[in-house]
Parts: sequence; structure tokens; C-alpha cells
Amino acid sequence: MNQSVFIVDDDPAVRDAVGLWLDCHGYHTLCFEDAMQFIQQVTPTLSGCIIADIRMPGMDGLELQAKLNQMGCQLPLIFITGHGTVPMAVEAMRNGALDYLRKPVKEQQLLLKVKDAFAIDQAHSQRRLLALTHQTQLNSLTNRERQVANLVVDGLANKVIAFELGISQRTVEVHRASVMSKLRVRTLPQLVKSYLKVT
Amino acid sequence: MTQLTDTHNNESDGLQTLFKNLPGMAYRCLNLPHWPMSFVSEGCEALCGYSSQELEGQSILWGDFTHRHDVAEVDRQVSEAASFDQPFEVEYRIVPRTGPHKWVWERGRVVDRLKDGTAIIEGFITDITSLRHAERMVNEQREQLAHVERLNTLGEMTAAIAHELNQPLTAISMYSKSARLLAQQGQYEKLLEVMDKVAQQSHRAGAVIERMQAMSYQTSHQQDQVNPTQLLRDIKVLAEIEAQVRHFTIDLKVPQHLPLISCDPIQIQQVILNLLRNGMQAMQTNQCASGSAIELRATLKQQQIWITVTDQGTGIKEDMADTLFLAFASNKHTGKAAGMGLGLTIGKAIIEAHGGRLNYRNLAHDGGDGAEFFFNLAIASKAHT
Repeated sequence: MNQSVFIVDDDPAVRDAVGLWLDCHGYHTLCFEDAMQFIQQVTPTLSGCIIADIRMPGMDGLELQAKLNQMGCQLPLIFITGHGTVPMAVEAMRNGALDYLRKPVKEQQLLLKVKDAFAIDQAHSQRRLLALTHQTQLNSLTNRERQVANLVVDGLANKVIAFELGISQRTVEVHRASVMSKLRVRTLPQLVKSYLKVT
Repeated sequence: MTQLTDTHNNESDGLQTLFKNLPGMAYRCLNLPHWPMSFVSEGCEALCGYSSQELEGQSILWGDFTHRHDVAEVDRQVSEAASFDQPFEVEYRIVPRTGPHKWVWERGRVVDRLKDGTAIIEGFITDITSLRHAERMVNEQREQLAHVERLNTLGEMTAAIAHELNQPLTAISMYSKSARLLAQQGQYEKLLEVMDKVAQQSHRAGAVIERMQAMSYQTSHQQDQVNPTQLLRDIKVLAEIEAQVRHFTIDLKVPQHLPLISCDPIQIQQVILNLLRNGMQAMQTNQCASGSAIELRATLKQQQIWITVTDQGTGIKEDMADTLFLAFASNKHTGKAAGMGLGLTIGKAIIEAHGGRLNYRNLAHDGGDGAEFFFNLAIASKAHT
């Protein structure tokens, strides 16, 4: 999965210079001159991070952040701003910005931040992938298997489960083995752990 | 012997009650130095702490406790009115037997003359101290408000300029760092392109600064033909509010018949007020005695009006001299007097925009110190005085 840096700044020179600097360090960059233009490109599969100005005509940086949060976009967001106020910084950080840098930005600092952002994004992607796998595995369970799995996770013994569901203990054991194999776990704790990750 | 006392005898009861209820004091006096009283109504004791017997017996004269800075001016106005048989109205300070000085309002007129021509004056004097205090408070608040407004404007301007400068600076800095990498990688064509961009952004930053300078110097330069005497009198009135708070006085020295000058009166007023304020602050720092005067003087020399503000303050220290007219250099570091350090810079810019020069010199004569700030203004070409 290719990670990109999405640069959103209304100032062409800043956009260009930041892009060049990151290009020189081997990052793939994409520039947008306003927030709306970027929003229209956002898909759940985007990977990388965003560098955005706060003060922009039309939709400003904080509005962009709110919109992205609303869309469930988890791309790490680094703000760079010419004259940010403290309340602005507080709002940005509270809403999950990775950092808030003041222009003129220190080049090395920006590089480090982008590196951090990519690591975070990577972790996000892996977790997303993992969740997706788990979900597929869970979806492969039959209704009866899911019922059995729920009760197993609740800590009930096979005998009790059999009684609860009105089936034989032997049948419970078969379902239980099938659940373990479909979810690719071997022990009860592993089952509980994998089960909790998704639900 | 006199009208008032005669009537007083005839209808004593009625008048007595009337005088008793007056919010002040009625009087009759001779227009001689310090105004000897021949009659004062009962209110005098409440007003000045001296009894009517003391004043009528002339063991103390009204002028004895008229504020020493006001007595000459009151005398001038009263005598002028008396010589034309006009009624007069004056406001001045008195120092009562006990307590702080009071502001009084007096209205009177000549009712008769002695054989030698000395005017006999009758009138009424009342305490307006509380009114004056209220006025002063309003003025102070207005001043503070103006100060806050100036600061706000300055703050907003600074923020806008900072933003406009930060954009090209960010770009320049990023381009330069990238250029280094490009050079190391041997990408010379790209490098040249980037160098051009750096130059472009430097010009952009320069343009911001140029625009800013143009903004501060151009400020709607409205040239008017102004009477310098009137201008300085107006300024004195404005500055006196602050002078009173600091217990200093302003000594205005203007020769008669000065020609008109060509200037923006508001801007010049700002410059002079700023010089006076600086001077008074320096005098306070120097712990000048209460009542010390700061001098505001106008002189005509070589077809130029020279305006000079002389204080008795600490003078300009050598290490301040170099940066005196630079923005944000201030020697008022602490407390209420902490300054923006913009006053003299703006003042210099205004005077130079008027074609004059603002300068200063230290006065270190006879152990007395202080500094003198002075500038010149051209007299109006169509001088019609």
C-alpha cells in the first residue's frame, strides 16, 4: 500500500516548497490548493498523512479536520500555520491533530513529523486489515456456531451450553472445535481475545 | 458704605436666609492685588475654611490662598473683564485652610468704582471639585480607551504582517534546504529552478515590507494652514490632564504674532503630546518636585517655526542615544510607564513627512539635567497673519 503526503495549502509557494522538500526525501506528495478539492479525493483506502494550513479561504483547516473526522478518515493530520492562536491550537489537538507547527516550519521537524505520521498510519492500516480479517472469519460462522461461541466466551461449561441450547454435549463439542478452527485459535483465552477485538 | 451691606441691613432676614442657603459664597471686593473683600456671605467658611470675619477684616486675602499657579491667570482675566466693564467667569484652584486644593467656579462683574478708578466687584464663587474630578475621570478613561484601541490596531497589524511574511519565509527556507539536497544529488537543472524560486519569494517578502512602510508614511497627509499659537494652546489643555495627575505644570511660551504653519494638525498634536508625555515620565523618574514645569516653546527662526519641549527629567543616557528613534526601543521598562517604544519613531516619521527634523539634546547645565526635543515646521507659503 503506497503512502502519500497530501499537502493542503492555499499559498502556491508554500505548497510547492513543502512538496519539493518531501519529494527530495523520497516521499510521494500530492498538492491541493483548497480543502474542498482534497475532500473530494478522500476514499477509505487512502494511506499516508495530511499537511494542512489552518487559515485558508473557503473551508479552513479546522473545518477540514471536522469534516474528515465526520467521514471517519483516520489519516494523521499535521497543521502548519502562519499565525495560529492558542485556542486554535487547542481545538486542533483536541480534535486529534498529530501536531501543530508554526511557519516558518523547521524542515527537520517536519520530516520527523511526517515519519511519525506514516508509522501511525501504518499501524492504523494494519489494525484495519486485522479487523477486516476477523470480521470475515466471524462472518464465516454459522448461526449455531455463533450461539455456541457467545456462550463459551461468557464462560459457560459445555454441559451448561448443551442444556441452554437444548442440544447434546457432543454436538456442542463439535461446534466448538469448528469455531476454533474457523477463527484460527487454539486455546480458550485466544478465542476470547480474538472475539473481543471485533465485537 | 456699600450697596450690598445696605440692602443687607434693610432686608436682613430675607437676605441672610438666602445667603445661608447658597451653595457657595457671594462677595464684594476691590480689584486690587489679592482682592481684599469688604463683604463675604456665610458660605465662605464651608468653601475655604476661613470665616467671613477673617476675610472682611482682611487678616487674610482671597488671593493669599488662590493656587499660586492660577492666581496670575485669574488676575489677568478679571482685570481684562473689569477694564471693559464686562462680566467674567473663571475656574481655578484654591488651597483651603485644611484639606487638599479645591476647584472653584467664579462669576462676577464690576458694580461700581472708587474715585481712583479701582473697580468694585460683586460676584459668586462655588465649589466644582467633584465636577472636575468626574471630568478628569472621563478624560482618563477616554485616554485609556484610545490607548487600547491603538494597541489593538497595532496587534492586528502585526499579526497580518507576520502572516504575510511567514509564507515567503517558509517557502524560502524549504527551498534552500531542498536546494542543498539537489546539489548533493547532482540534479543541477532542478537546482537552478529552485534558486529562481528562492529569489522570487525574497522579492515577495520585500514587497510586503515595502507596502507596510508605504502604509505607515502615507497616512492621509492632510495639510492645513494652522495657527501655531492656537495649536499649542489646545495641546496644553489636553496635556494638562496628565500633568495634573503627575502634579507637574506645563509652561507654554509662545511669542506674539506667529505666522501660520502648513501641517496636519492632528499628527503634529500627536507628536507634541507624545514628547510632553515622555518628558513628564522622565521627570517622574527623576523625582522632580511637585509643581515642576515642563516647557513647551515655539520660536520663529529662518522662516521656520521651531517647537521645543524641555523637561527636567533624567536626560537621554548615552547607551539609549543610538536607538532612541528605533521602533520598539523603550527605556520605560517597568510598571505603568512601560512603553511600546513606538512614540519617537512615529514622531520622527511624521515630522520628516512634513519636511522637518526631530532632534534632541541633553541639558546638563548647573547640575540641572533634563532633555530638550525640538523640531521645525515650514511656515505656510501664503502667510496671511
